Amino acid sequence: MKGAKGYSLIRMITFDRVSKRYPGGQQALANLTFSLARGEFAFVTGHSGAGKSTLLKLVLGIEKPSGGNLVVNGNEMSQISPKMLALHRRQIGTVFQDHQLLNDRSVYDNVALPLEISGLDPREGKRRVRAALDKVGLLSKEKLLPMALSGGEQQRVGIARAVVNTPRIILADEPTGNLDPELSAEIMALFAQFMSVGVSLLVASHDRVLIDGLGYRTLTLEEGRLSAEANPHPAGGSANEF
Amino acid sequence: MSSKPSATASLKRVSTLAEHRRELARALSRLRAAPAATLITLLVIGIALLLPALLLQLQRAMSAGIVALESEASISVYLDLGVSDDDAKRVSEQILKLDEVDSLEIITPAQALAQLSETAGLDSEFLASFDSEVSTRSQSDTGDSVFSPRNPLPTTFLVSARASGDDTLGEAAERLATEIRGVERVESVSVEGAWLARLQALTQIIRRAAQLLSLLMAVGLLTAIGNTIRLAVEQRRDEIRVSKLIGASDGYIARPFLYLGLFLGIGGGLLAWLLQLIVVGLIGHEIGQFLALYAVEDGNSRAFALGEALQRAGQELGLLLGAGGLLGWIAAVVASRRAIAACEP
Repeated sequence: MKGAKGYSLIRMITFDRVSKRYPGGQQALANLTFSLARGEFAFVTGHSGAGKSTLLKLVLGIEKPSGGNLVVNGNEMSQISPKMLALHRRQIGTVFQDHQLLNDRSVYDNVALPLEISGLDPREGKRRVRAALDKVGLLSKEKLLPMALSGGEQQRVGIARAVVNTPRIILADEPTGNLDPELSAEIMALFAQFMSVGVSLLVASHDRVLIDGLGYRTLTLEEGRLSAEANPHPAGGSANEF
Repeated sequence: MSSKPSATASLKRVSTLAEHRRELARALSRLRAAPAATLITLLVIGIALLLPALLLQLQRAMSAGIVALESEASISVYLDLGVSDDDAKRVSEQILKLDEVDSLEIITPAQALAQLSETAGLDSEFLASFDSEVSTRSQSDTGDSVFSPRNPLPTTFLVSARASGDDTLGEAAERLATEIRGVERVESVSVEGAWLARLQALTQIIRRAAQLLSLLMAVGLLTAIGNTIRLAVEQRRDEIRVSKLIGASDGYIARPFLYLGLFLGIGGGLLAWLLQLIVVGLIGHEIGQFLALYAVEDGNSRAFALGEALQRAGQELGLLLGAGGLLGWIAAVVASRRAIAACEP
């Protein structure tokens, strides 16, 4: 946004005074305003219950905002139709905290699922699935079932599935929660590659060491409000190279 | 979104046919994954389809026999005793004016007696002792009175009826008989085809029962297949939830379940057909004998002639597969839509 050229002119995610109140009366997000540009990386941090997960759910359309205006990839999220919602989600790669893998399908088939849903030719898909698995270092385990993998490996299968469809937005909920520092750094480097080709990333994490070490834009939530915004480098800095 | 270039739109898409083929294989593999449940469901569907199919087949066999017999529906009309041949002729002309009459044959008492003697093997002497015209009591020379019996047979008309309008021949014959009973000098009327009318009524009842049973079974099948589909969806709840999270539409998720419903329906239809062949093989002979009691030999032999039997078997198969497939598909569409909508992430 601060960069005057390149991807940063296009807003991929725009929160405009968005609030979310759950049916029980719990206020998860209040009056949240920020935007994420194309090719921009932002961490969302805060204590558990601060609203990180709710924020990601709103972007993915699992929940609808109860107030304000949320536009993601050109879609007004409070009015999106079920059909458009499915298309919307195909443009977003999501890394779930609890992996959300299918336990009766091989690692390969799990990663291939988004391509299958998009109706991609399986032969073309094969190359892509292999490439994604290679990037997370699991090519040798493509035939195994997720249950046979460690927590960290399952996490990486989830990451491979999130990136296989070359999404416009990557959402990640604690993607490095089960990974050792070395692997975490590798995953972050992988995310940076995507950022450099114009993918916007929103990563929820409370790994302060990781966040501080990378120096990306950081949104801190506190009881559903944006309490602090750190912006060490101009947003979309790496994208400005193009 | 449509104005922006899509990341996936530019990629080579798999043809819809290949996509369907893949879903088909997946649906089949799900059936294989639970062979016992699949078999039980198929059996339920097969038996549910079998019952109305059998009734319809019985009704068809009976109708075929009845059509062959209908031309024989005739009415016997007996006039009062002592009606002269001229009077009989006038009565016959009166009856011929009625609408339903196809033809009329007069049998005079003399002819009837001749026929009777022929069939009974009586000698001509005995016959000669009857005075066909009047009963007389003649006085012999000796004064003894000799009994000369009069012909005890009445003038008889054999009337054949003709179907008119929507009535079956049996119904036409019944109505004609009622009208003839009102004609003067007619003593009694008997409808030879009364049993035919009863058989026809029975056939009607069987057909109605088959129709009603088909309807009930259709409702039962929709419920049974729908329930199986709902359970299958629930078994895949996690997969559906994850698929939705990464952008699968409800239609895409439903597809393998629709195939599942179609397979169950068609498979059940096939099973019903095989069971029907077995049942007909077991009781077909008894049905034939039953029809033979009603002298429906013609229809009976026709119904079980090889060529026609094969053609009919083919029709039955098509009907059962079609009905099963259609019901399976409808049940799957309704059940999967609701069950999938319930699997929200």
